[in-house]
Amino acid sequence: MVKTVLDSISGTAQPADVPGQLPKLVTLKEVARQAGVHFTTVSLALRGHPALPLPTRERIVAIAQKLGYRRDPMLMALTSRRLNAQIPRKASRMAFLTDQPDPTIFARNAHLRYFFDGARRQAELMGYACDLVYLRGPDFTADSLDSRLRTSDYDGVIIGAFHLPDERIALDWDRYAIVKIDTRFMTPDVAFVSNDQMGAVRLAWRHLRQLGYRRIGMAIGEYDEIATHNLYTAGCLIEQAATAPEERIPPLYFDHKDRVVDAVPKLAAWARQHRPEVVVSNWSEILPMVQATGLRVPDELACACLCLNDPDPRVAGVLQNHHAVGRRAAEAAAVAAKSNQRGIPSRPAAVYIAGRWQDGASAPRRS
Amino acid sequence: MKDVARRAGVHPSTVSLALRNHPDIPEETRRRIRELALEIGYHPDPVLDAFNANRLSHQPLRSAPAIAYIGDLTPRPSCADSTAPQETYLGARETAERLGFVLDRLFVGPGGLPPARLNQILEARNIDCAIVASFSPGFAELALNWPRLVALKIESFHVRPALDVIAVDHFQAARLAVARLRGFGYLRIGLVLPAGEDARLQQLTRSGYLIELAQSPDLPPLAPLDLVPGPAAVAAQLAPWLAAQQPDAVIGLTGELLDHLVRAHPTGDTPGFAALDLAGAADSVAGIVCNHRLVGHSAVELLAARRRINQRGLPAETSVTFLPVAWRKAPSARPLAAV
Repeated sequence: MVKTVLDSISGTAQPADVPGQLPKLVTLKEVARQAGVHFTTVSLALRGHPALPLPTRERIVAIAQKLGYRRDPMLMALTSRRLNAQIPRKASRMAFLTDQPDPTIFARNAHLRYFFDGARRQAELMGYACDLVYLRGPDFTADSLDSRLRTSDYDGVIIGAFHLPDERIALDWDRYAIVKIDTRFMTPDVAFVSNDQMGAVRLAWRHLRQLGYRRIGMAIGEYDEIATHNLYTAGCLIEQAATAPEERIPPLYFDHKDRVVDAVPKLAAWARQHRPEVVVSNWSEILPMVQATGLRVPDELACACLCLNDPDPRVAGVLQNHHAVGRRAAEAAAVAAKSNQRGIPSRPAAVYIAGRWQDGASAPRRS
Repeated sequence: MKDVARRAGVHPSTVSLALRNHPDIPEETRRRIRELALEIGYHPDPVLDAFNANRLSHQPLRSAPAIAYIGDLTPRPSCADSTAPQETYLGARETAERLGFVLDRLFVGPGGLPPARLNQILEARNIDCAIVASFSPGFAELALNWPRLVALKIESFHVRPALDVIAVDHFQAARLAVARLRGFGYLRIGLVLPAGEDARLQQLTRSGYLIELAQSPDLPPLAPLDLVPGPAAVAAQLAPWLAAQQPDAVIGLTGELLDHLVRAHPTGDTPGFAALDLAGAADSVAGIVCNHRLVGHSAVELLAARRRINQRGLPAETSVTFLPVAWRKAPSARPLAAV
């Protein structure tokens, strides 16, 4: 009987690579043939079983991905029912909502792409499909969102780092397990997963001190400071509390409406007044901004960025793990859906993902 | 075990079955016996258990999978009045049982198991899930065979290795306490914590205290006091700090500090007081209600989900999950106009 079940395990259809060809069904056995292993090994590898060496698992996963194999949640539900004699569950889906207008613009935001990739990967590991759902565009209305999510039987909803957190989305929240990425103050007030902003400031501070910097200043967008409930300044204050009073520099806050050209003169005036050796900022343009003040980087003013999307040898700073944020969001949504914690909780949880320090030319060791 | 049996009025074998959560014993009886065992301090002898597990391992597996709930026996006199560890454990146990796991409480620290022995026991009992519960500040590292484990930490930010942490929102607790005291009209709000307790939490409490005070420029942060435990020592440290800082309100960790404050003010002009964790505190103490059961519950739920997909070993990146806190009104801190 087990053999019959395994025989029938197959992936869902994926779009064909070659135009004009029909989508091809990729089976477990096809992956096994390509990998040169038994199909049960493939099954174990895709479930991350520790009985297989990690390199083997990774190799098989890579082949499965290349062929476009996906675990079929329907079949997983079936096998799980047969093996555990449990009540059958319908195939589960998760929606990743975005307020970006279209796929081109979504793809241009590296952090959004990483959030979504991470969420989808974790959702699939946990037996969910994860779809990107656009809230804008010509045929969108709030009504159509609710009916679309209903008809497709979505269990989980991830509100994916909205750029306009004032956006109101009307959904019958009680139907879904809901998790937000960032946007702590956006309605609905549900659990959110975010990069650890306070941790990033503290990580940068400690690395810069190790690199020999003493007068460390922070320049933050006022909007981000408010949106994170002052987490940047909290990190700055607690690190400053451990330093000599004469090394403490008041943070610079860029105005809500400041563009880079508006921020540069403010940065220059602040640097003249307080003479920091290094500035840490959550603005990704911090290096060109310091250069634009006319100060030589790093000799006159070094700088570090608090939210690097990708490693860059020119810029020191904290590499944010957006992929992990997405993974943790999908995991939280799946765990909540599984235990039927749907709707808006009375008081939601907050989840933070740690970043990682990257050395860079903008803040070398101070001689 | 016989003591437990005598008190429960059942046969020792019933106790044994109940403590292993055997379904042959009615749910209610199991719970009663477990609570009784907990109360009189019985816990299974790990060595004996390992022997039994080994002996029984040749028979087909019948018992539920287990989660090791690893605690620290190091005494913490500064938080001796707190029921937080026990509430967390009970929350974890409830959820474990609901999800079909057995929660196996194991201890390290003085009189507990050395980590190497703990490792052997986990392997002998085929336990592949571990929760590192709240450890004392001095405990630096727990060396277990992590690659085979699905593991999480509760509160223990400071214990290596880095694992995902589930914790009370200590940062928010401190912010909320400061915000409420400020709202009551207090102007000099001080922070007194047991030494090492905030370092253990990566200074989340002090960060929250500083940032919340920074919201009103007229409220200066006072120099914090790190209390080294011991009843006589507390009074000796508290008096000079009170004299130097002149607080009109004090934020402490547990309700016990209020007693010291009252003793330090024999004329009755005790400052306002709020505890950052009211677990176990008297009803007269204002402060923060931390849902420790929810912490235990969330940890087990996440662990079970990760075990299902074999997410084992040390994570490449770590997450911290902070669970919400709430303010409780009580006479120890009141609006100043009403005093």
